[in-house]
Amino acid sequence: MRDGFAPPLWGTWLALAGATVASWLVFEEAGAPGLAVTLVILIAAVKIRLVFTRFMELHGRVMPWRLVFEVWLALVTVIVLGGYWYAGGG
Amino acid sequence: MSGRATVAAPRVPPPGDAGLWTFLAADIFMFGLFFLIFVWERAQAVTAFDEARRLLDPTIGMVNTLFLLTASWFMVGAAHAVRHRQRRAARRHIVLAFLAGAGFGVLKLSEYAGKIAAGITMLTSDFFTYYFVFTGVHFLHFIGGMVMLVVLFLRLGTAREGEVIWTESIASYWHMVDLLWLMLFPMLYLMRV
Repeated sequence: MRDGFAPPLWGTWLALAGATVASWLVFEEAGAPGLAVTLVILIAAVKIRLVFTRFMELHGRVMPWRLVFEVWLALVTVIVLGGYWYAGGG
Repeated sequence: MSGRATVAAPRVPPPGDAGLWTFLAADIFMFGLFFLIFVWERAQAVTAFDEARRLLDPTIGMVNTLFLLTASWFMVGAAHAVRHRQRRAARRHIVLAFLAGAGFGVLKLSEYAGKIAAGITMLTSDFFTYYFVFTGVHFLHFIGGMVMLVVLFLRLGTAREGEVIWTESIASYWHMVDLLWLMLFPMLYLMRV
């Protein structure tokens, strides 16, 4: 087998890096803070899910750990976004 | 009747040591509690938290996110290489992960130093108490990960026994450090009013 230089999942890395720069741009450029922050937190949630399903290989029937991470992510997203809007949002 | 028995699909074990996953799960829930405390306290003093947040540089946070994501990606490469018995490639990926991790470490330390030089400490305000405690606990996790990378690099140079489980376990830990930062960064640096 080829002793490759680049790790596999480079597409996932590219998506994660792109989403990181995109959230920073949304923060820097977007006028409406409420919408920008909501978008940035949702992008973070998608990135986290990519990390645990692809990088950490918690996909398919990797149970119960996949379920633990899915539930954690749902809770954390609701807590952070809910907390932001509870405080008055933007 | 088809005569075909219904058999539950078997569970697939996670990569690395099974016991490690109990620690990872407990750890992410501890950070979940951090997030809950932060947004709750922020809701009590939105203006003060936002004024303090403006003292952070989101570009530093963004670049640090890229460093951690890249380190994580190289650990994907290390695990992949070790499974295919490519020890040289595995060790090379570990070195690259370490270098990307070092980028995060240097930038984070310079950020801490800049804040302290400007007179901003964890006693300055509630926001900075949480900032220093949460990022500090995360930084300790990161240091632990860097030490593990060194141990793994040295171990892959000598021992063959358990090389896959060692690499997968340390890679999984690294990904968790990365994953936690992915929410810490927007919550501390980008949550504006």
